[in-house]
Amino acid sequence: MRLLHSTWIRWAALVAVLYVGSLAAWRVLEPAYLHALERGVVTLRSVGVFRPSLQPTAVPGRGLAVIDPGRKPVAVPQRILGADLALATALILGSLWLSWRQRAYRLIAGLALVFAAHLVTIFAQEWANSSASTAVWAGWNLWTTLYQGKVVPVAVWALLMAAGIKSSSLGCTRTSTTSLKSLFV
Amino acid sequence: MTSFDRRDLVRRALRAGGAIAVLYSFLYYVLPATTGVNLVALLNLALASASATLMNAIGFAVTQSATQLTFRAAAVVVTNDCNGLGAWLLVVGAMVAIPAVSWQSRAAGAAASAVALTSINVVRVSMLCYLQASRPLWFSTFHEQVAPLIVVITASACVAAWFHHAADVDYAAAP
Repeated sequence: MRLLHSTWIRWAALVAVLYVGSLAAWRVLEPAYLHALERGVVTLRSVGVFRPSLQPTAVPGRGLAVIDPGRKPVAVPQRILGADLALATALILGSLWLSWRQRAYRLIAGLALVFAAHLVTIFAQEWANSSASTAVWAGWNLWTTLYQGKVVPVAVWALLMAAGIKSSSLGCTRTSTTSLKSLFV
Repeated sequence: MTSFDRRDLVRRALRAGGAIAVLYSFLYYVLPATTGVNLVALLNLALASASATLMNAIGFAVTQSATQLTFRAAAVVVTNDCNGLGAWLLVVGAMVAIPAVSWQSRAAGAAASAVALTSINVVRVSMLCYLQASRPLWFSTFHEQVAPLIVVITASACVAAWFHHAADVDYAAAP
């Protein structure tokens, strides 16, 4: 328990401080991100990836609403994304047992993975909503439950930490392996 | 001595994922279908009741109707997304994945974590109820960016505390 106090609490405090810092940085970058996302959708529409009728609308502080007449609009919310990116950043930068170079590489990969998971979740929601399969619904509900539990940044961090482990045994001693239902709410 | 490699990590991750899926299926589908008892709905109701009690105890006049809390004409509803079950499932998954620990320790850790996470969640729901009524501009930031960090830190503290306790008990008893 002494170890818990001395090591874990200090590490948790460091992660919390890094999280707050990352969140502040995200708040500064948010308008640029939203603009880039909107431009990205317009560009993909212009090259034929999306229908010409599809219209992206930036909602400052909230995210991007993608509206297509006759279809249910898709919301790309950014607050949950911001929290997930900030948590992944805090966990990776807080991984003090790695060098700065290793953390920098993992940070780039981690942010890309969190963003990808976020987008896949948004589009998977459309797919799940249109599915009549009970198994799809059960799977989707499980995913949103875990998503609320912040599984994305934690799993991305765990994955990137595990990626540094060689295929050969490390011989660690007594060491553990260490909703979008309410869019724009 | 516990050694592991990448294959072992994958095996443990699959074990954690399997445990999460089984537990989730049991709570959400099997138990209500076979016994008619919906523990998740009861948890939401208990969370709303405990939050209302806490708010009233500290002087805020909150009224409760099922899972809805109303304070100064502003309401919050405790749904399946608010009950902290996602974080608890991840904690249980981590406990199942950690090797060489007895199932009694795992069960005790899961129960203690449920209590800790529910307690934090009661405070979280109470704060959301207050913010919705008094500081509505802060609601979304607290709901989506501040509270999740508190839950994640609590969840990882549960795993860390449990692991140190289990290491003291189970590893010491191991031959």
